[in-house]
Amino acid sequence: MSGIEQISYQARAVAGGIEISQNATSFRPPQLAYHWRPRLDPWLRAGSPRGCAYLDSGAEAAFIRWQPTSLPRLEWRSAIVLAGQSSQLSGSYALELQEPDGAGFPAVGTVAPGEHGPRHAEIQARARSSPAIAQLIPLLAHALVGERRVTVPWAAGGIPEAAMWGLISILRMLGDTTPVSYLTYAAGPLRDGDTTGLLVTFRADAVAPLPPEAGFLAVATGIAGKFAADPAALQRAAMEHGVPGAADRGTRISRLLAMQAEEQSRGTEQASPRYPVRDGAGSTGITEPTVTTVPTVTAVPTVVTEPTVIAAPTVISGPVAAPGPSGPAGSGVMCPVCLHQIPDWDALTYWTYTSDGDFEEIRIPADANAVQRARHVHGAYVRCPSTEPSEGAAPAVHHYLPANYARFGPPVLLGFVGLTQSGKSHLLASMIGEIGKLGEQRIEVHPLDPGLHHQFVEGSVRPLFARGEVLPGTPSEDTTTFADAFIVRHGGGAERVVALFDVAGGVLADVRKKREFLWVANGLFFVIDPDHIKSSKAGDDTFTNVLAYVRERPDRDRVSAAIVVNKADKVRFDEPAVRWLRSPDLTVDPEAFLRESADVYGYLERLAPGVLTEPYRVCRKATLHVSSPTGGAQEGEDTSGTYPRGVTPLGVLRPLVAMLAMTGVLTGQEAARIGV
Amino acid sequence: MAGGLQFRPVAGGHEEFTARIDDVELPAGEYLTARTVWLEDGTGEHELRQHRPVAGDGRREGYLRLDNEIFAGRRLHEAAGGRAGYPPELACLHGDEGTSADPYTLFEPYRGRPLSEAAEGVFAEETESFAVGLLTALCWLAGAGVAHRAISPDTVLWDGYRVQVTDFSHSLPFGTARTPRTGARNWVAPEYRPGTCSGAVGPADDVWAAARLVFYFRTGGQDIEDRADLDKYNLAQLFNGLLPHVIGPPEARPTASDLIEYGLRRPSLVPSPKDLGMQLRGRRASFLNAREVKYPGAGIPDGFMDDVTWRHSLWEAGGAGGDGG
Repeated sequence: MSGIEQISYQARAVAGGIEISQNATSFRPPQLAYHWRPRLDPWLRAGSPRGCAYLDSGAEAAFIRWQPTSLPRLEWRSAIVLAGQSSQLSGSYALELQEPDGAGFPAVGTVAPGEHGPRHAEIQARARSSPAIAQLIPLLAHALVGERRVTVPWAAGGIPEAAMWGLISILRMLGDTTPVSYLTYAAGPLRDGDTTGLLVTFRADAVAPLPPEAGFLAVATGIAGKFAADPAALQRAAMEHGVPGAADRGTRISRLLAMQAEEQSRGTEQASPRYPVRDGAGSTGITEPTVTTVPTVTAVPTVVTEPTVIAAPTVISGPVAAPGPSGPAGSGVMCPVCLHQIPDWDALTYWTYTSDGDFEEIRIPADANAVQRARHVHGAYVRCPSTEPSEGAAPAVHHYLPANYARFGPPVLLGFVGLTQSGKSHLLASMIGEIGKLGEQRIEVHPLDPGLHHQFVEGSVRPLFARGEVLPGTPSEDTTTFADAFIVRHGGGAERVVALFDVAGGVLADVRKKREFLWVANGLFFVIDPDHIKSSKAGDDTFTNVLAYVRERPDRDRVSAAIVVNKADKVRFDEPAVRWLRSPDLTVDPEAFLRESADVYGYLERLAPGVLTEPYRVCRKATLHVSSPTGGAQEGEDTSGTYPRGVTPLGVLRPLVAMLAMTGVLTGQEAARIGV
Repeated sequence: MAGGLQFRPVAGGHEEFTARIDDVELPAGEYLTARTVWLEDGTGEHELRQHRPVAGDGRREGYLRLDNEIFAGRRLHEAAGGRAGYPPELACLHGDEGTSADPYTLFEPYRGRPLSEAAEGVFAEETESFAVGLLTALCWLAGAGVAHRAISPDTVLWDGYRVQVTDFSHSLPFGTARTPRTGARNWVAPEYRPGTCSGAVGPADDVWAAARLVFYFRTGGQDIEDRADLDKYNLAQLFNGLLPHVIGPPEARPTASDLIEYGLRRPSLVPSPKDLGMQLRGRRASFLNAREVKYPGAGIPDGFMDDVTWRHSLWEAGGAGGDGG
């Protein structure tokens, strides 16, 4: 085979699935295309017009783009395939080609070594943007480790393609010739058992993979930063240090480490004007594609008791959004730990959490350029300037917040309150596990603090979702900290920080415990176990204690409530659970929320009149819901149990969507009517 | 083999029996399997059908299907006011074990043969009796606020005298979002087919397949190919000209009750199950009262109660009732 040929395939819905047939080809004789069909079949079935695929066997390669269709039962109507020698049809070159029209790709023919495609400059610029770099870093780290299969969350806006272009470009600069295949949007399972080399798959429902060892991530972060700043400089540096000529992976890594160490000691890293650093309005200088899912990041989860911390992990990589001037709502923000009004967020110094369990101030050289500054403060924290001792705590205990916490206007603080064993932790874990689905409603979500998010995913989401494990209850500590936080944007609206607090049930039932966040929370999820409804004395105390705070707040009209009958699988054959548990989660439909609220209100009033619906009457905006974080009951009574039916969350996002609407994170007339 | 069975009787509570269990597996719809069990109650044996999720890949779907059976069975029992009033046209749930890793349902033994087997031997004169029985079953389902969603020659039995509707594994409550159904096109209404699935589950949904099943019965096992087929077997006349409406879109489709009352012109045969929607409407009303206190003058969306008003006939509301279609 010489040059690059085309094959088009057509899909047809048949009983039990789709039938794929070859439609046309530029191969001559056409029979030369036949051997591609069985190799491409699983790829054709797994892909979607939302992405593309590149299959590299080492000698031959194929690149697939799918054409959309409105026909029912079909993900795609036709697929256009380029096929050729891997040396000509590389994974990066394929992404530089114009997208095909209905008839196919524009003529490709023979490609000279080093020749660029027509979209080379465009894809290179995108690959150097911060969202793509954030996606690229963990991929590169996995590639450096030598992993063969990596599945990561899909992100909208062409980020997967840009990240793959960057990954392949970097690997080739470093002399790594491992075949790299990719599928940038997997709509179905991909049977990839015989794919040579590295295969990267992007899936909308994927959970970020386990991060590679921290050292690899650090190397990847450095390389990606240099690539973003100046790809040519990266290539030169790699050449100077003999990286491309390394005989094996270990040698290559050693030389990369030496290269980075030497450059850091010389301070020779160069900034590039194209490197995107957010300005105060949140723009990047380069049009940033939308990111709807979280990038893979790593962290070293650490349990910290002193000093008091909101978030403690050491963040090695993550989104490359550098803390800068505060967001549109100004600099003043209240610390959720001590309620101190921080007058000038931008004046706070930056801190990093060290491996020995303490915070260390970050010294940023006065002459640091934008890239250097971004790298210094990436994943950093700020220290609350309050020196007032917290109630019941030792004086002058410092506490820290993610540096991005106040960059997007006043944060929205949401808390989960309810009895011990009401399932608050499971509800929170399921919400966060499913939160990527909000993208279907144009609600973009990405973690505020990748390290904190990773810690929560590894500690709660993955054990519940992947292993069906029962989660331990929330520790009853004196200080309430937030479990995870996200930057949320609805449609074209402003970005807002949304922080989620989990509170031990015992804390809420005991009036002596500290509950500072109740003075600043914007929204409260009142979580109820159906088994507790009729024996609700303790429930009375919990809700009563919490609502007492709300009533005393000068801004009580700004507190919204979502009353959630949790673990509703226990009553799934009865109304209202049978009606609402399987209802679509994500519609921002005020009338549907009103119906659900009415049904749940009536249910609670019938079983415990006047008790559990009190938050509806006290809080200005309120909704009521049913949810099941697991979809079924656990086997056994204790936390060593599992969920024998597996874990299938039902209705967990509806309370969150309602709360985001009631607290103004979601915008528009429909959202404004929710909770009224 | 023998064993013990602990379950929740359909009326509530808890029972435990020694049971003899047959090894022979029976069909019980997709993702479920059935076998016969005999409960020993001290005075003798009580034969029941035990439905369980299949093993392997389909087990998770089997859990959901079994949940649907439990939901429908409990609802029907409540609508019937207990076992004494339970209609023989519907398979009767005896009890269930719906919480463990190995859940099951227990049904009273089915009566009759699937129409897919029995249709060839039926007599034309039995058509009206069949139609009345089938529509009666649908009236009970509608009273309970349940759509069966799988009316077909495989799920409807005939014993030469009476109809029995079985297999509630696709059931959904009225007012919830319709979800696509796969299966033979002749028995899946357009509003449930993938690609055209839309709207909310309602009381006229099962009537589409029921009308086709009446034709299937009358013709000894043929499917409707054309609306003109209805005239060939006097079915248009039997149903007073209403059947073409049944084949049409759900928003203009008569309910089973409409078909008995205005089609067959036998209003005295329309059953009177408890209106379980009344309780839901009452709950919503209590919420609206609280909302009015909190937000005086807050408007109530149009049709706020529609999804819990199960006896509402869109066809009748459209003015077609009583005019023969």
